[in-house]
Amino acid sequence: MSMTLKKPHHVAHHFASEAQEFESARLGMWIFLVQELLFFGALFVVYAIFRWWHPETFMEAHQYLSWKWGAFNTVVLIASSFTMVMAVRSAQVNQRKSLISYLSLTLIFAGVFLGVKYIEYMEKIHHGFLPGSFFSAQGVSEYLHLFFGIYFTMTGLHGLHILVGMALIVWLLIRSFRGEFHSEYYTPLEMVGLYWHFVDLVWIFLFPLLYLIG
Amino acid sequence: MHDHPSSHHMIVPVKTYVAVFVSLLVLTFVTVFVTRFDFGAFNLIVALAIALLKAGLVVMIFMGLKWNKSFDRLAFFGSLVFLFIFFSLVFVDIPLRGYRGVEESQQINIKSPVKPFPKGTMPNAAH
Repeated sequence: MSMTLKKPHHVAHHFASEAQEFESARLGMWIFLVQELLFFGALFVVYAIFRWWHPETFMEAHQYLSWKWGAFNTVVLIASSFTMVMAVRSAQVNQRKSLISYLSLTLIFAGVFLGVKYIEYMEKIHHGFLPGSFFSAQGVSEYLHLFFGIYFTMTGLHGLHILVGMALIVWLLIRSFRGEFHSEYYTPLEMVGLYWHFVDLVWIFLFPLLYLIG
Repeated sequence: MHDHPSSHHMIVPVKTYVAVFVSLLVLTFVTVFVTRFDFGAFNLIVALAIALLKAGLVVMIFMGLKWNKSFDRLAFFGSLVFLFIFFSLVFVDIPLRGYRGVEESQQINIKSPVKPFPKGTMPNAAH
């Protein structure tokens, strides 16, 4: 057991038990994630419609994306999902030090992901592969700007989710340092964990659909 | 009802998480590796099948839906039903319209910002 005091958690007065409080939070989180799923689902429908109309554009466009960066970022996000479950597990078995280590690792992986995304975006901007009327590059297909509209919208919104996730992980780290998470209470850890895996899930589909067309 | 503080908490063995982590890495390698082969129209299906398998592992193990027998399961799988309805209606509609969005944009004379490359002179941008 760690040297620091475990801060006890008090169940909010409108819940009958800790179990009920935890399960209510988790249900709320799942409802939110289901909404996110339908939200991203609409974007995948946009992708499918334009790919159906302009398959040759998509074939051409994916050559301007680096599958190596995409694959690297896929591995980084999978690793971050793994460190996230290990962080939650560390709290479940009262290992505060490894909880903090795993959360820090998750934060670092998230940073690496965004760093790679920054390099990719800079390259696209440099070549003029911008969405819609901002597009200024050469291309075989006259619909190439549509692909990059879809690319920036989907990866941009996904990147925004990563950014929000990073802020949440910082908040979890602060609370972990204070000893607020332990085997009897780790609800926020579990909820951010669910969110984080969802963000990983979206990328699992974005990677083959944007980078590996062929 | 359970009132014991830890009764609703499922502690998953580390080796389960490691196994899923390794499986996800292997499947990522496979999805990249199969792009070396051309299965024609099946390329997309293979890529999506691998992605669905990966998604299943993340949802069931990392997100714990395998052990979570509560209403959360219904919420998630219910949403998949609605997603399926959404996708299938669009995928029936679009191919059967008999025209492409192209014609609409030509009617209102939208100019493409893409500077055309003469075919065959495209530089090799692939990485």
